[in-house]
Amino acid sequence: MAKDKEKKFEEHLQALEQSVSALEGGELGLEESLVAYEEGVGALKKCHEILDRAEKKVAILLKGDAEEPFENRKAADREKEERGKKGGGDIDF
Amino acid sequence: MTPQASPALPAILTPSEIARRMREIAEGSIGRVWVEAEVSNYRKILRSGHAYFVLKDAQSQIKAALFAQAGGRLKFTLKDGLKVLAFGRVTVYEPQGEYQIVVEQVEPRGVGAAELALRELKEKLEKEGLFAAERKRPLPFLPRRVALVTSPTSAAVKDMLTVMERRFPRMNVLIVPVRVQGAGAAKELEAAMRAVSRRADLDVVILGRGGGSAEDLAAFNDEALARAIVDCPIPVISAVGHEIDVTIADLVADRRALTPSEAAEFATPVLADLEERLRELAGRARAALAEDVRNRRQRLDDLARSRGLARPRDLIERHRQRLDGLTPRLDGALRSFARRLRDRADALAPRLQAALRTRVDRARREAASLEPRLSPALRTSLARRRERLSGAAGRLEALSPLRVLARGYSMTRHGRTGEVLRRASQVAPGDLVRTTLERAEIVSKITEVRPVPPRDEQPKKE
Repeated sequence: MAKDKEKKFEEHLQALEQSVSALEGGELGLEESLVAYEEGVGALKKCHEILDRAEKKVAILLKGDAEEPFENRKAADREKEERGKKGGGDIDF
Repeated sequence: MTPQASPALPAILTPSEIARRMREIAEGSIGRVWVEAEVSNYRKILRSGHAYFVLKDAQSQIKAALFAQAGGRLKFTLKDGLKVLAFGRVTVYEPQGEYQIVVEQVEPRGVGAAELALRELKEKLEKEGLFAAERKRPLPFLPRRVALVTSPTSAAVKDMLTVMERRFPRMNVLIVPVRVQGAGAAKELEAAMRAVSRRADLDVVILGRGGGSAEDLAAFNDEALARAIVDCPIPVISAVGHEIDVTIADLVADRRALTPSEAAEFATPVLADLEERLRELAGRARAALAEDVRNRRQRLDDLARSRGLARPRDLIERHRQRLDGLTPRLDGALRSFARRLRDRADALAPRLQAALRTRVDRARREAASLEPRLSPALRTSLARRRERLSGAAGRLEALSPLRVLARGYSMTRHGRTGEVLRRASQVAPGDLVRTTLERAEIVSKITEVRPVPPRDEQPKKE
C-alpha cells in the first residue's frame, strides 16, 4: 500500500532518538559519531518536513468515495438537510 | 370430636395450621415462577443485607423478599418504578400469614432476550480472540489523516474537531457520515468502516457515537460491525461514550475512549510537544557530539601527559642532563691535555734551539773550511757575480722613489683614498691631500683645481 512507501514521522523520530542515544552513549568511534550525527540531522529534517507538509483540511466523505470540504455550519441545519435529502444521492452540506 | 374432616362440621383450625396449609398449597401449586412486575416500596435492611419490596402490576401486588446472598448476585440496582422480571418461590410467611415471593434472580425487563443474545455474541467473539490485548494495534504517533466515523450533525464532531484543532492545528480530517442509532444504523456503521478500510490516505479511525440516547447502543453491538472493525487495516478508536455498558465495538476496537474528545486526544499529538521534542533531541545530538569531541581532545591531552608518551621527553631530558654533567669534565680534560702538550713543547724548545745552533755552527765551519779549496775559475766567477750584485744594488737604490724625493720631487696622495694624484679630476676644492717629501709629510686643503692643457705629447694611458 502507498502508505508504507514513505517512512512515518515516528520512524524518523525513532531514528533521531537512536542517533541521540548512540551519541550520548559515548561508545562510538569518531567516524561513527559523525555518521550518527549526520543520520540524526537527516531524521530531524524529515520530521520537520512532515510537520511542515501537514495541511489543515476537514472534508466529508460522500457516496462513491468522493469528498468535499466540511463546513462547520449549525448541526441542526445540516441534520434537516440530511433528512430532507434521504435517499437522494450525495449528502450535501 | 374427631380430627376427621366432615363436610357437615367445619374443622376448627389454628392460624398456624392455616398458615402452614396455605404455604403447602402455595409452594405446591404455584412454586417457582417468573414474575413480570414493577418494583415498588423497595427498602434494604443494612444490617442483614436483605431487601424487601413489592412487585406490582396495574391490578395487584405481591410482597417480595430478596435475601442478601441472591441480592449480591444482581448486576444492577433495584429501585422503585423499575420494570423487572423476577424469578422466585411463592410462599407464605407464616408468622404474618402473608403470601410473598422469595426472589432468587432479577433482570431488568425488556433486556432479557437481547441481553442474552449479546452475551452469546460476546462469548463467541471472545473465543475467536477478537478482544485479545495482543490483537490491539498501537495508534499512529502522527496520523496523516484521521477518519471520524460519526454523525456529522452531532456535538461529538464539533468536540473532536475542536480538540484536534487545539492539539495539532493542521490536522487533516475526513468525516465519514453515519447514523449511530435507529434502524439501519449498524449497517451504516459497518459500511462506513468498510469504506474507510478501502482508502489508503487514512492512518486512524475514530468510531464515535456522539449524541443519541444513552440507552440505545444496539448498533455498536452488531456482529457485522465488529468484524468490519477487526478487518480494518488501520487502528480504530471507539468513542461510544457509555461508561457502564461496554459495547462490542469498544471491545474489538484497538483503543477505547470514554468521550469523543478523549478519542481525538488519542488520535492527535500535540504539535507544540512534537516541536519541543525535536528541539530537545537536536540540542542533545549537538551537545553529545560536542561532548564527544571534547572528551577525545581531553583523552588526547591526557595521553600526551601520560608516562608512556612523556618518557621519550624524559629520556631526552636525562641525556641532556648527563651531557650537562659531562661538559665541564670534557672542558677540564681538554684543558689539561692542552697544558700537557704545551709543557712538552716548552721542554723541547731549548733542546731544539741548541740542536739548531749546533747544526748552523757546523755548517758555517764547513763552509769556511771549503772556501780555500774552490777552484780559481770558480773563484773569479764568484767575484764577478759579487760585483754585479753590488752594481745592481746601486742601480736599485737610484731607482728608489726616496732617491727621487731626495732630488726635490714630491708625491701627493688623496687624503681620503690614498690614491696618487695624477689628474685634476681626482680632486676637488675642499679635499685634503697628503704630500710626501724625502723626510716629511704635508697635509693641505685644495682651494682650487686648475687643469693645465696637455703639451705636444699624446694623452698617456695608465
